[in-house]
Amino acid sequence: MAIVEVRNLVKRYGEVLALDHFNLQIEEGEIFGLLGPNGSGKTTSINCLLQLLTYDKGDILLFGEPMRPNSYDIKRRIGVVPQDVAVFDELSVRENIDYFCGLYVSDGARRRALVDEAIEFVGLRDYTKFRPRKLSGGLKRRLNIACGIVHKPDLIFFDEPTVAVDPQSRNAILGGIQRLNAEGATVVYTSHYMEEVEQICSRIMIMDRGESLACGTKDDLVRMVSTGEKVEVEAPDLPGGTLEALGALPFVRRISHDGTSIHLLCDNGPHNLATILGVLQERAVVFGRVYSEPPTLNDVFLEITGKELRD
Amino acid sequence: MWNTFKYTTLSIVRERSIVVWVLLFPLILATLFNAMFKGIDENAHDLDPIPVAIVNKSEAGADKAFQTMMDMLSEGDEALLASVEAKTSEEAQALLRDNKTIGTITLDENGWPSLELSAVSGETGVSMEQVKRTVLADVVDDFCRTRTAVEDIMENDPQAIRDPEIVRSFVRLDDYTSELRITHSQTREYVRYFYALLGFAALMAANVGLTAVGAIQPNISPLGARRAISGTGRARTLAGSIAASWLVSFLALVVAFVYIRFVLGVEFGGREAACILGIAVSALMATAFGALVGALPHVPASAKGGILSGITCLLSLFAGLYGTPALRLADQVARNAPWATAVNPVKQVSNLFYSLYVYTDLEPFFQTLGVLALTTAVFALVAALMMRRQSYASL
Repeated sequence: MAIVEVRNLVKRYGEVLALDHFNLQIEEGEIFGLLGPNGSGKTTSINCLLQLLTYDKGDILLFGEPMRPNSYDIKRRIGVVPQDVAVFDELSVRENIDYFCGLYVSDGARRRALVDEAIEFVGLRDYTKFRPRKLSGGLKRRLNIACGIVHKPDLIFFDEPTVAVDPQSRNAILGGIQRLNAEGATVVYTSHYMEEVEQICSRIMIMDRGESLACGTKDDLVRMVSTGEKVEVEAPDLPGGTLEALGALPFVRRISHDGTSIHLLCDNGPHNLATILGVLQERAVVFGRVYSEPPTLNDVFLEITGKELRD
Repeated sequence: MWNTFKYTTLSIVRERSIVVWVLLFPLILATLFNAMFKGIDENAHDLDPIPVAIVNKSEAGADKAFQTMMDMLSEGDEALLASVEAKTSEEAQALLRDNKTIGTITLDENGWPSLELSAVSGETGVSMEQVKRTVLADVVDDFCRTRTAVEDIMENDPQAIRDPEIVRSFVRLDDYTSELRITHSQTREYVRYFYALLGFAALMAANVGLTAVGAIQPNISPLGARRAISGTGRARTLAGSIAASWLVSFLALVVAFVYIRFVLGVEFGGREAACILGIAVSALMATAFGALVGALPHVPASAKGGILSGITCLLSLFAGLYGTPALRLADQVARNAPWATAVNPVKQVSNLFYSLYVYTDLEPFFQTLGVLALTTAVFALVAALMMRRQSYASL
């Protein structure tokens, strides 16, 4: 079942087209990654989905129902962890989480249990009486997450939740998102960090200039781009004809030798490295370290969105 | 709504800038006002002896009655008159011209006094000079009236003068003079500064509404955006926030009132219960005004506090907060442009307390309360129009 369905969404800021007939479908139980450069329309699309922003055209359905500004029944099933830490500076960690839980849950006993659970989930047990200004950047992010997930929503939007946090906090956050997903929540995750998206997302959309450019699993996306596997073999002395033999392999696109190593750019294939090493052994080439680098999501992203600097 | 009310109240009362500007600042100003204005006003009621030149042209013995009266009025710590001897009318004129005396009393050959007073200056209102002129004229009038009566009785019924009761009646005024108070309390001008201060404090309390509204507006703060997409309706969030703002504003104003009334001892006409009602409506006006400024579109949140403070300081000028010149300006504006007073909430709050202090009946108080309620409704309506939208073209 599609939890999120967006059809032909058009959003303009004056003359600027922020979303250009944007389409999106997210299935129940997914961790869906939304990737794109700055200004690509990621946050705008989420804000339109949540009805914070008006839009010029298009349909938005959440949980199979049309989403409206006053669709509170739908909103109660959604959790949002915004990009900026959006909490009360003058309330303690527990009070903040309790306040946001109270926006969804009115029963006091159930609320207390949910707040305790959320505090435990994000690891803020030792900081419940702290005010946000006393927390480190990572702890603030965890509080931001706790406020968004405390009511156990079915659909959670994470908008760049790991910006400016240390590696330990990042790991904890990503692990937490995977646990939420394992407990049944559908997650929409936007980030600039490719490795995070690769690590946790089951499907990924790359968008730019308000359009969806590519969508699928990581392997689907890698197959879409021409960037191949890079192989480097440390071999200072090469018998004559070795480079020609390697260059003759059908999957090798480019080959060079810089005096210490052989550099090969290959088409994607499951046995490239084994074939190359086989050729070297046949010719009794003495080689040292071997590196193989399959195309990454970063390569896919740069190839799809371009390498030029953005504003 | 209770959830929003509870946590909005908590967050506001813990906000340091709110505590300083809404709660402490009015108390500090009230303490300063007490030191500056209260002493001045008390001194203003002390009447120094009135300097008067006496030119005596009477024949020997004819001035005895007048001199007796002058001796009585010029003696002791509470002397009313200070006579300055002048040998000639010219000398007395010179003293009058040089402002060394308020008037000249000339006794004719029969000992009857005639009075010449100093010229009236162009100032408006009641000055101490005018009070002294009036007192001097009363002294001379009273002497002439009493002497005429005594001489009349002695001529027509000499036996009657032996009756001590009749003699006492010449000098007793209470049979035909009664004190009539036209105000509810004995008016002291310094109280107006404290009433203007409460008006100022009310508008400073608008910062509470501004802060609360800023925290629920999606186009103003990330926190507002987060709350807007929650499972609680916007109207309930708004109602909880406004109720919390009103409560905090009300309590801050009550603290200022209690301090001014019971610690500094400023009079409110003995109508403290009505003052609390006035404060409740003033706090509502302040909340609505804060909400209005807080909801202004396309104005950075950081600039809104500055806008509010600027408006508060400007309106306080026309409520007479900044000393005597400001008070005179406020009075002139009230006389010449009453509409400007009606649209000035600081002045209206100040007028609430002034009407309780001065007027015997409560009608002026309720009229002012009505104006404030109307002002509140206008502020709330405009704020609601700006906050009614739930989705925005941009954030």
